[in-house]
Amino acid sequence: MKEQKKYNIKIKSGSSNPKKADSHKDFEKVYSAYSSWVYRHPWYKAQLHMPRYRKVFMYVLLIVLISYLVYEAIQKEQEMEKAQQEQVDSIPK
Amino acid sequence: MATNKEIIIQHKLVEAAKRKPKMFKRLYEMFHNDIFYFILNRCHDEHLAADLCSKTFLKAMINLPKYEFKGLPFSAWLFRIASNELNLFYRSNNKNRDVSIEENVLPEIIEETEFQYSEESIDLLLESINGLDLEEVELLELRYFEKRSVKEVSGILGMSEANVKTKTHRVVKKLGKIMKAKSEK
Repeated sequence: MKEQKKYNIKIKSGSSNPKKADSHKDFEKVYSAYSSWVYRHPWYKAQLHMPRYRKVFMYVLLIVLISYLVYEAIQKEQEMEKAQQEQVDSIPK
Repeated sequence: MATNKEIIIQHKLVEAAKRKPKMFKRLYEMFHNDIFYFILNRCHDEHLAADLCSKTFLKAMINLPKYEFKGLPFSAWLFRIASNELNLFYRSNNKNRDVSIEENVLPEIIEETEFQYSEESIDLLLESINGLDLEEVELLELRYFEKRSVKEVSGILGMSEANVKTKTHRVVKKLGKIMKAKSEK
């Protein structure tokens, strides 16, 4: 059985012509494609930070949030204690 | 292969492009021709190469925020994107992959397979390449046909340098075996 041809092999002689590549060089085309891609994917801006930094940022946010909730709870408890104390103090002996 | 100074300059340009995408133009101009010929050697069609080259740079711009500097030239990352684009193109179009070999590298690779350089051994080599997997052909292309350094190949294929050396050695051995089997037929 004849072996299946997987590749089209071409033998080249001589060096490549740099003018051939230069004629296809067009950054504006790539940039406009990029701009329209960004326009179609608005959430892309949120990804602009590296994942590592995003993770650190999430941890900091979480710690701040938990600290705020704990602080609020402590404040509320102190206020309640104070109110109770005032109520107790207002009772004539 | 880029020097350390060039790699640092490239890294600075990448950081600037991450902040302002228009700054990517410098990197585009720096690497366009390399990427274009990298693709052209693998597809033999100028217009298709130009199209895939544009797609490669577009993907690079989109994924630039995820790029992490690992001490390798920026081009290695671009070559990897280009290689993925090519594989995607061939897979979705169900076409045979094109491979280019420069005439002057033929004697070296034939000698490595322990054959004498002749018209017959060239035909044998070309026939035997069809017995290799795509990953093996990619290694041959990068190391022998394009004469890239081990470090560069490891950056492009995402392998360790030791792995590149071992795999290249195995591929050449396998190619020699296929050629021997074909010559005995």
